Amino acid sequence: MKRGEPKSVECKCAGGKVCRCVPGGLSVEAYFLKYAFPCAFITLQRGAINQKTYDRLEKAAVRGDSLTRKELEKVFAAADRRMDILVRERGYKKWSFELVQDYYWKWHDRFIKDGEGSYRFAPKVLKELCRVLSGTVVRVRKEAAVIRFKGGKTRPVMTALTGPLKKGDKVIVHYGYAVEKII
Amino acid sequence: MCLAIPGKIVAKKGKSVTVDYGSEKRQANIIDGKYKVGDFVIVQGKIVVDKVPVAQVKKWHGFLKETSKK
Repeated sequence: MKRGEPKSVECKCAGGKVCRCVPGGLSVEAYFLKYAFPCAFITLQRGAINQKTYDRLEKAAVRGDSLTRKELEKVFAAADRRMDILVRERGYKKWSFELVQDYYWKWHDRFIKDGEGSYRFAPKVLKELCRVLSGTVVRVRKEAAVIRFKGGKTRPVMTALTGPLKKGDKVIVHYGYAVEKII
Repeated sequence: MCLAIPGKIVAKKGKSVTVDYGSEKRQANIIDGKYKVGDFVIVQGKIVVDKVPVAQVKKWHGFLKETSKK
């Protein structure tokens, strides 16, 4: 996916319905889940979801499966609330690919900086991990990779959501996961 | 395989560490960065992702407690 050029195509989604997908065959729900899943461990820790639900989310995120919008909105209530703000204030269409991508690539960081919702109480390290950043793979390990960000800081991440990466790949990172390869 | 609270490294053998969460202990691997026994860390999947300064550990618990009420 080329950054800044969100494009969607028609494909088959949950229940065999025709819906809008991103190149690579992901539905907008599956694409959202890839980005949202890395913060599900916070949701699990808070007790808002149980381990069984977490495991199911992980499996779907790794496989690129679609879950229902209703479930995603419930589990990732904060992301849903913030995307609703963008729908109201910025004119995005609910559950459009453009909204999901812009939310994570562009607006997510601003919500963190503004201390929206629970970010107000979040410790600094958590807020930093929470940011959606792009970086370059500098080292590859089993099921993991080390990413270098602009400025030189590095972070180890799991590669379950992207599949194996190679040195030089550019990726988007959220918490301890590489989420998507970019060009 | 992951906990959203900082755990304390209680043992280190090469690149493998044992992280104590009070109620349980977990194993994780270091693939980047320098860590020592006594450090508080965040583990995601099977890897140590970041270090948490002691001053922030308490804040972290407060954050989870505060946001769990909602």
